Amino acid sequence: MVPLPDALTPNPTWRLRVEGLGIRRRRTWIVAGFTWEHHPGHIAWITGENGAGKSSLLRVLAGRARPTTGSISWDGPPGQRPLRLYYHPTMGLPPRSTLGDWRRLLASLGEGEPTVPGAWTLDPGRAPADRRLGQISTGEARRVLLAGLLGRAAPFLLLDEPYEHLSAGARDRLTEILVRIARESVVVVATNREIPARAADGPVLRLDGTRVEPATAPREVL
Amino acid sequence: MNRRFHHTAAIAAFELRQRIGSPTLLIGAAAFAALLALGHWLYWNAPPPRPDDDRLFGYAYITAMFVSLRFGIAADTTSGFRDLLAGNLTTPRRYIAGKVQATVTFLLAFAPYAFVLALAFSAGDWRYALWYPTLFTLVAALFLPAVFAAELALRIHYPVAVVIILFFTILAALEPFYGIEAVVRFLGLRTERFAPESLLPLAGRVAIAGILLALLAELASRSLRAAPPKATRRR
Repeated sequence: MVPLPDALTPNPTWRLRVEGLGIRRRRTWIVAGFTWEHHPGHIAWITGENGAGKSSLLRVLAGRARPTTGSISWDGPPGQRPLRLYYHPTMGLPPRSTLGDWRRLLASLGEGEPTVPGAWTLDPGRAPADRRLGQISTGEARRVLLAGLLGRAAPFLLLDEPYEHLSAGARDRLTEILVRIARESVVVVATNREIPARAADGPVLRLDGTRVEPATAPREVL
Repeated sequence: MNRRFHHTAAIAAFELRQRIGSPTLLIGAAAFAALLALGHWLYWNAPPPRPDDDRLFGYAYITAMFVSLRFGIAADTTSGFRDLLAGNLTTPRRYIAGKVQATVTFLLAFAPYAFVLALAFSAGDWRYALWYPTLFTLVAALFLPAVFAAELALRIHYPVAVVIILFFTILAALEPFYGIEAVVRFLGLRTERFAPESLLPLAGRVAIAGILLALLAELASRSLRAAPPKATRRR
């Protein structure tokens, strides 16, 4: 496995803050009266049963949906853009484009932007550049997509089920990258899977009815 | 280059590269060539005096646009690519602007193709080969806002079909009250063959359509923008 460059340093200036958050989906409250804050340092995990509302909570935390009640803030140093990268499993790549075209687009869009060293190592890089994205395997496509997304340095990173379709090796590599990003950025991951041991030092929010149970150690919860 | 234009150009180039290899473009281009060839075969085999018509250019052009004219936003929505790009790797406004730029470029690039085929089939009739591609490129540009709105509202991959159906439905509905001629004139579609000055009313409406398209693009990018949570506070 290619070692990741150790270029990222802890950055305590960013903060995700939630106050009295309530999310109602149809007539059911997923979360009610939730107050929480998270800083760079460790990955925060959102767990819970299928349908518990992990994705809905993450969408709201990413600013992609409005909460029913309460407020969210993405605080940071004055003058700096609180860019929020958000991933969910239904995101995909255009099947008719080639890997080469996708990489060219990423390079163009990322020109002059800060990057995450080593995020590209998630991209398996086996398929030739002229291969259409619709012709690579689901797992490879996920890795290509995630590598492109994680390569962009952002103070807030919110990922919904990023481990789906990845091999064990790719999951390890993803965790390694996320742990490094979390030193400098606010990282929140929603997952159905067991929390990787190497990243289990962060807070866990377990969705259970309308309650969100923050716990310091995941093993107390899972 | 300004970052905004750089992003827009990169998205437009990406979209155009996708289209170049797409079967719909090949089918559209082939259908155009086949129908235009048929029109000219009928024309050259007609007893003199030969008919003074478009030699199926209109049908050929509409067929080509039917299968290949789109902004690509519906396809990106289906594949989840729009969500990945807009809001993460670029802004919704740049994303939409890139799509519009790609579509306008496609439309402009189709005109020389139509011109070359028209010139070849008409055995070097410059006036014919210049007139019809120009006229139909303007007509297609006139309907771009409608194509954009149809694609976004209905999330369909063939928005031209909807626009054609809507156009004829509206035409039929207005005909008893105003007559077809009035509607055609209102849209600037009444032109005189091979008379460039008769294209001016149409060109004026295309300029208005351009403004309308820009407004629709702005509305679309606003709707794609992340909904800000209530009472957001920043230090």
